[in-house]
Amino acid sequence: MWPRPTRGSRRRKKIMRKAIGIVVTLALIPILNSCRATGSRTVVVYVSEDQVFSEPILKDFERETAITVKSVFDTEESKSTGVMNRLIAEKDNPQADVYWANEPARADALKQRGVSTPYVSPSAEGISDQFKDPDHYWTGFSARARLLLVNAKSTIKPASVMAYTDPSAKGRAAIANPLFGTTTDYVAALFTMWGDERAGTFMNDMKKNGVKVTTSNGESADFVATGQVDFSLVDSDDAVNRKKQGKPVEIVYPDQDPNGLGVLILPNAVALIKGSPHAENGKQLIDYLLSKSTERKLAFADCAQIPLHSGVETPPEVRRIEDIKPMRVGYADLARKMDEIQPFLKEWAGQ
Amino acid sequence: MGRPVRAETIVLGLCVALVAIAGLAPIAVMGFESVWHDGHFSLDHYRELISSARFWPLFGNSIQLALATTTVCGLIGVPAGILFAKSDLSLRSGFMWLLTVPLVLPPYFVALGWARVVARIGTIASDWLFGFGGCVLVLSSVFLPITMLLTFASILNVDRRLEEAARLVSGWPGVLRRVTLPLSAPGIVFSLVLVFLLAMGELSVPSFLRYPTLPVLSFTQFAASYNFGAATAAAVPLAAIAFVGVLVESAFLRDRDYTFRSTGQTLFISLRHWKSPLAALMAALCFALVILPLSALFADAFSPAAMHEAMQRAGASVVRSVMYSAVAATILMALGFLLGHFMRGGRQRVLSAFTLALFAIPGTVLSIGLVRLWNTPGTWFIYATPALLILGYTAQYCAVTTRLSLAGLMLIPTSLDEAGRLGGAMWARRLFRISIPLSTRTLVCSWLAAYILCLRDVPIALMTAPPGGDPLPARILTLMANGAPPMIASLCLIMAIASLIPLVILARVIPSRGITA
Repeated sequence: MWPRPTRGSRRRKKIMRKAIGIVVTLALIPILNSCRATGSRTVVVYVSEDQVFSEPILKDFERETAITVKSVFDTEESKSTGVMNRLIAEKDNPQADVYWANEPARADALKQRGVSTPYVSPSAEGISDQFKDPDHYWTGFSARARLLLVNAKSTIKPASVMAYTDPSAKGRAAIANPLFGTTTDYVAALFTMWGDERAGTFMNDMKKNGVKVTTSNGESADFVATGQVDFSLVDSDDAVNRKKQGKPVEIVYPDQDPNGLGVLILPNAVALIKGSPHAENGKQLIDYLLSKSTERKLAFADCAQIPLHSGVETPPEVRRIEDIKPMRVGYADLARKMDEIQPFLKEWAGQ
Repeated sequence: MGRPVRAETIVLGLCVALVAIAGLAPIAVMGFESVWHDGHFSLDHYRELISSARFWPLFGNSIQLALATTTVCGLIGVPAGILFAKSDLSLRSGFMWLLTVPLVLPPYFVALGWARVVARIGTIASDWLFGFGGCVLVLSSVFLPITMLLTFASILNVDRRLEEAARLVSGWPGVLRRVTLPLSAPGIVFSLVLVFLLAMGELSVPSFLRYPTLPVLSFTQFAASYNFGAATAAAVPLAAIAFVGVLVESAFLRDRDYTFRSTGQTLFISLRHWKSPLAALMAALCFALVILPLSALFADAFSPAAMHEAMQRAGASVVRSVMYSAVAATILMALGFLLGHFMRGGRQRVLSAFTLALFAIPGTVLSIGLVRLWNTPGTWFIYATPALLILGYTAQYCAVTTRLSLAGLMLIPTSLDEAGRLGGAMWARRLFRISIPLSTRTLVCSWLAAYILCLRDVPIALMTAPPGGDPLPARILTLMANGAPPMIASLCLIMAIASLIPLVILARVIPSRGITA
C-alpha cells in the first residue's frame, strides 16, 4: 500500500504543481511567440549598414508610421555580406521585405540571382541615374566615398592613388585587405576603368612598394592616425571619425583633376525582396530611406555619409555630391568585376 | 497480445527524439550537404579546403591555441582548486567565486576589457594582445574556472579515510601525489578535455583579437558566403576533434560514476607561514585575470547618458535574452533530469557520449546545421521564431544539465525507488514522489547553470535569432562596429548583472559541499 499523504507531502505536491505550472507557462512562451508576424503593421529588413547608424533611422520610421520594424544586422566578422547571403539562401522561402545594402554591388548581386523585385520609389526623384539600377531593382542613397587619409606630419602629400606606387611611399602606405569590403569595390573599379592589365600591374607595383595590408579600413585609419604609415585609402566615415576625434590627419579627395580618375562613391542601396511577406510596408520603408530627411540624418550622424539628393544640408566635414568628381563606373559592372578578380585578389593577398 | 509499452520507455523515447531533432538532425544534414554537390556525391569541398593555403595554418593555430589554453588552465586551475578545497587559505571562497566571474560572461567581454587596458599602455602591448598571446590570456581567464571548480569538486569527493591512512606514513605532498590527485584524476582530466574542446571551438575571442582559427573560417564561410558545404567542411576537423575528446573522456571515466558525493569533513592542509604569501598570490591572480580587464571594460559604463543610450538600444534585447534563457533553461532542466534518471546506474552510455559531443561541437557548426534543416516554407514556425534558437541551446547544453542531474540522482539511495516499486507505485508516481522532491537543489543548480550558459552564448544567438529578436550578446557584437565605447561598456555591464545574479544564487545554493544536500 502506498502511504497516505502527510501534511509535508501535500505541501510538496502544491509546490510541485506550481513549479509545473511555471514550467508549462515558460515553455508556452516561444510557442505563442512563434505565431509569425504576418499582420499588416510589420516590415522585416535585413541590414548590411552598421547597426549603430541604421537602427536610429529604422526607429524613426517605426515612430512615424507605427509599422513595427524587425531587423537582422550584419556583423563585422561576416564583412557585411552575411545578410545578403542569407537572403540568397532564403530565396524560396523569403522572410525579409527589404534589403538595406551598404553598397550597390550587394543589391545588384540579389538582382542577378532573382531575389529582389523592381520598385520605383517617388522619393528617388532627384537622385542621379548613376546611383540607380536601370531596371529599378535597387536605388542608391547616402554614400561613402573612398578617400585618402594622410597623417598631418607626413612629408608625403598624395593627391592620387598612384602615390601607392611612388618610391617615396615605399613601406609608408597601408590598404585594407582587398579580399573584403569596400577595398574590393575600389580594386574592381580600377580593373573596370583601366582594364585588367594596367590595374593588375598597379596592384603588383603597390605590393612591391611594401604596402601594409590591414584587416579593415578602421585599422588602416588607426595606422595613419598613430603615424605607423603616412597614408591609406579608407572610407569617408573612417576618415571623418578620426578627424572628429582630433587625430592629426588630413582628408584628401583623390584624383580630382579634370583628367583624373575621380572618387569612388559607394552609396547605400535599398531593394524590395521578391515575394516578400509585407511588400506594401516594405515599399513604405524604401520611400522613407530614400527621402531627403533620412539623407540629412545620415550626413549628420557619425557615419558622415554624403547625401545623393542635391541641396541637402551637410556638416562642414562632409562634402556635397555636387562638389565631388565621382568615378564614372557602373555598379553592375563593378559587381561582375568583383567576382572575376577574386582569384587574382586571393593570390595577391596570399590566400 | 504484445507487451504494453511502459510510460518510462515513452518518456525516454521523447527525450531522445528531442535531442535527435535539436542536435543529431542538423549535424546529419550538414554532413550530407558537405558531400552532396549538384545532385551527386562529391568530396570537392574537402579537397578544396585541404588544398587551400589557409587550412593547415588555421588548423595549426586552433590546435596551438587550445593546447596553450589547456596548459595554462591546468597549471593554474588545478593548484587553485586544490588550495580552495583542501587548505585553510584565507578568503578562499571569495577568491573562488571571483575567479568564476569570467566564465559566466560572454568570452569576448574579457577580450574587450583587455583591449581597453592595452589602449592605455601603447602599441607594443596592443600588438601582443591582438594575436596568439592575447587569445591565450583571454581564453585562460574564461575557462580557468572549469578546471578550478572541477578540481575542487573532485578533491572534495576523495574519501577522507584514505587520506587519513596515508597521513600516517607520509606528509601532505606525498598524500596529494599518491592518494588525492590519482583519485581526483577523472574529474581533472575531464575538465582539461573540456577546456581543450571549448578553446578549439571558440569563435568570438579569436575573431575579436584577429587571430585566425578554424571556427572563424567556418563562421565566415557561412556568414559571408552562406556556403553550407564549405562551412561544414571547415567545421568537420573541429567535430572530429570533439569526438576524439569524448572518446578520451569516456576512456577515463569508464566504469566510474562521476558524482559530487560528500564523504564527511574534508581533511585540511594547514598552510601556516605560507598562508599570507599564497593569499597575496591569489589576490594578484584575481586582480590580473578578473578585476583589471573587467574594471577597464566597465569604467565608462556608469555615465547616465551611456546607460540611457544602452537601455534605449538594447532594453528589448535584455528582456529577450532573459526570456529565451529562462525558457531554454527550463526545457534543459527537465530534459537533463529525465536523461539523468535514465542514465543512472551506467545505462545509456551512447546517449551520454552523444550529448557530450554536442556540447563540444562549436556553436557555429550546430547553428549552421539548424539553419539548413529548418529553412523551409513548411517549417517557418521554427525557422522564423525563437524556437530555432531554443533548439540550438537545448542541443548544445543538454550534456551539462544531464550530468548535473545524474550527479545529484546518484546520491539518492536506489532502495527508496525499489521500495516505491514494491509498494505498487508506477514510474511516473515514483519520479514525482521520490526523485523530484529529493532533487530540488539539483534541479535549481541545473536550471541556473543552463540559464547562465544560454545567457552568455554568442554563436547560436548570432546565427539563429529571428528578425528583430536578437539576444543581448548578439546585439552587443553587432553594435560594437562603430558603436560609442561608453554605450558598449554600459551594455556589457547590463549583461554582466543579468549573468551575475544567478551566479550569486548559485553561490548560496552550493555553500561548499557540492550540488546536493
